[in-house]
Amino acid sequence: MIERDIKVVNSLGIHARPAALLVKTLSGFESNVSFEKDSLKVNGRSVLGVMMLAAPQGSFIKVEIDGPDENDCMLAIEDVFVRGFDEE
Amino acid sequence: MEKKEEIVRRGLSISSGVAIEKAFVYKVFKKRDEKLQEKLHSKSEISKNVKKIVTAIAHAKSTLSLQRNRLIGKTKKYHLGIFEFQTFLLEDSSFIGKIREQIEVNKKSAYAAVIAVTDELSSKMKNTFEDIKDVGNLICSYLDEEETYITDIPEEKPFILITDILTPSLVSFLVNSDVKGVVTELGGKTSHAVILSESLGVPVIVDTPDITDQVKTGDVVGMDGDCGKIVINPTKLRLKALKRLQKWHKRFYNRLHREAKKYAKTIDNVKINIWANIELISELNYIIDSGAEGIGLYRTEFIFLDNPDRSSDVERQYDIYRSVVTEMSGRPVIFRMVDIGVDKVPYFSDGKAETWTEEANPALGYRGIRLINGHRNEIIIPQLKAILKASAYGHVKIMLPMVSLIEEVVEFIRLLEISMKNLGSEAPSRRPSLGIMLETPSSILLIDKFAKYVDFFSIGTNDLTQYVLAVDRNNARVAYMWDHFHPAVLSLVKQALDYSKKIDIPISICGEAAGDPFAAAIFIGFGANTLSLSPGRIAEMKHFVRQWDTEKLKVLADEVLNFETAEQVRKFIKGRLKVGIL
Repeated sequence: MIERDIKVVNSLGIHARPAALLVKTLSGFESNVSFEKDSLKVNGRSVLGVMMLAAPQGSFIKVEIDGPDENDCMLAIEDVFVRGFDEE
Repeated sequence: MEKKEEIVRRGLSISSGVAIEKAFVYKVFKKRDEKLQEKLHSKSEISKNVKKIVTAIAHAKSTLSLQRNRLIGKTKKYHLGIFEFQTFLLEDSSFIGKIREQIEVNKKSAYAAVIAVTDELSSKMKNTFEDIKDVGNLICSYLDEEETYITDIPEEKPFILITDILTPSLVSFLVNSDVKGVVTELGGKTSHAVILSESLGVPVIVDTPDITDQVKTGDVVGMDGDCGKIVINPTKLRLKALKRLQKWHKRFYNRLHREAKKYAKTIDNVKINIWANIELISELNYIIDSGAEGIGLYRTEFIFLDNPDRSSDVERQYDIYRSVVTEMSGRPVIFRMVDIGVDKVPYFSDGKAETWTEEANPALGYRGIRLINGHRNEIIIPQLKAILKASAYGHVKIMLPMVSLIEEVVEFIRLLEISMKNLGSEAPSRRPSLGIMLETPSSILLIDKFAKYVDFFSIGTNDLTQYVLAVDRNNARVAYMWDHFHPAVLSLVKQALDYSKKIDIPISICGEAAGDPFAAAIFIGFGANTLSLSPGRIAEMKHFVRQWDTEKLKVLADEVLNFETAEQVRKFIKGRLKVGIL
């Protein structure tokens, strides 16, 4: 199992569209993924859960991944965060 | 007749334009209170309602994809992401679980359960509440046959929509109606539905509380989208003023649209060809209507991304390509061979997923024409054959992406000739012309060598900028460096244009810069005469071209090359060139 704290960089934070992008990103991986913020821990594959984190710009999300492709999965998730969820 | 009192309201203006029409008032929230009171009594009622939910959700999902498709090509791809969110929500087991709980534990009807859950969620999610409520309404519309969800929008009759809330699905229904304007009670500049509403091309005003109570369906409403003013039951005098304003607006935009169908010539009578970039076949009608004189860049990636396990299916691709070529009826279509790489696509072979070898640097890796070495039989040849077959139906050209070596072109020509031979009677009578994208520094530095092998060039400014400045625009840390106004990029563009002119080989410019009027002016100043842009920008671009004089642009463009930074170029050109609609 691996875990990492990742910063939310886009100005609107995590709302509907970024949540959808995260869920979509995970669909290519088998590992179990959870996101945690302020002691609220959610399943990474639930768009509702991810959105419930309501993470604003500048906040940190603890990403926990467990499974055969955990390293690739972490890279993919980091990439989505760094890209600011392709916000325009 | 009872005289109705004039009411003037002000809201937040989203899209400009003037409309005067009868109102159609649609209350998304306000008409369902009594339905929420229903309670379930028996076990069989409960299980029936659970079943209803499952079916309704399935229907809602297919409706969402329909709605998304209606908007393709009419709005930016980014905005379509909201439908993805809504689809994931419908697939989310915790969302469905919450609804079931309302039915099974709280004995609510399926209808009331959906509303309770989506209301609760949207109260927590301020930014996206419209999108969540929209999902609720959508499910409900399949729960109750009497529900009039959106279907009572007037058909073939012009109207101004007055609603409490604009939702993505409402917008997708409006796309095919004769809506002339939209006024909403809620909403702000950033809400998704409001952004989508730009695709309607009508005035939109939001943030006018309680307006659905002030207007009745059938009332005359005048709205000025430029300043956010709404007049309900206008007086004679006001009506006259509004009509004059409307006429002026209409005349101008009609002219813009009408003139988009004609060629664009500069003041000094130089014709600039304006072509369109296309990605999805659903954009085709839009493109034909836009006034594009050809397709300068047909991005074929989606065929491989949508259905990767059928990458090598020649017939399937042929059907799609043929319909594009036929619809364009004689106007040129430039097919770009698929430009996918490790970063983009899962690759399938014989129905099994194959993993690409992972790359640290996909932008510099195995992609574009480089697939000719590893996926010749799986991807390159089938696509080439499909294009060749389709080329019998119109004016087809083939273009290679990511070319950096002469060998790549030579090898492709060999495959092209073999494929022509193998197709036998299905082959076109003449080989379509072949060109390359100029998007790597080497392709422009060796342009004289490449010119011996190909029939045309097209400058891809996006990747060219990436490779010249050695910057990955998707990397947030360095993305600020990416700028097509950089003198190094412009200087290479000029080099390519100069050489092509000298030996008289056709060259066009695609990429975002071609749609940016300031960059386009520089390119025309360098001597460019063909630009390929996204269809939504064509009418305006032609309008700008008609105000320009190539001699003057040439002077500006020459001066641009003396600058040292992109910022200086941008400042200079924006200061010296007037680009305005009026």
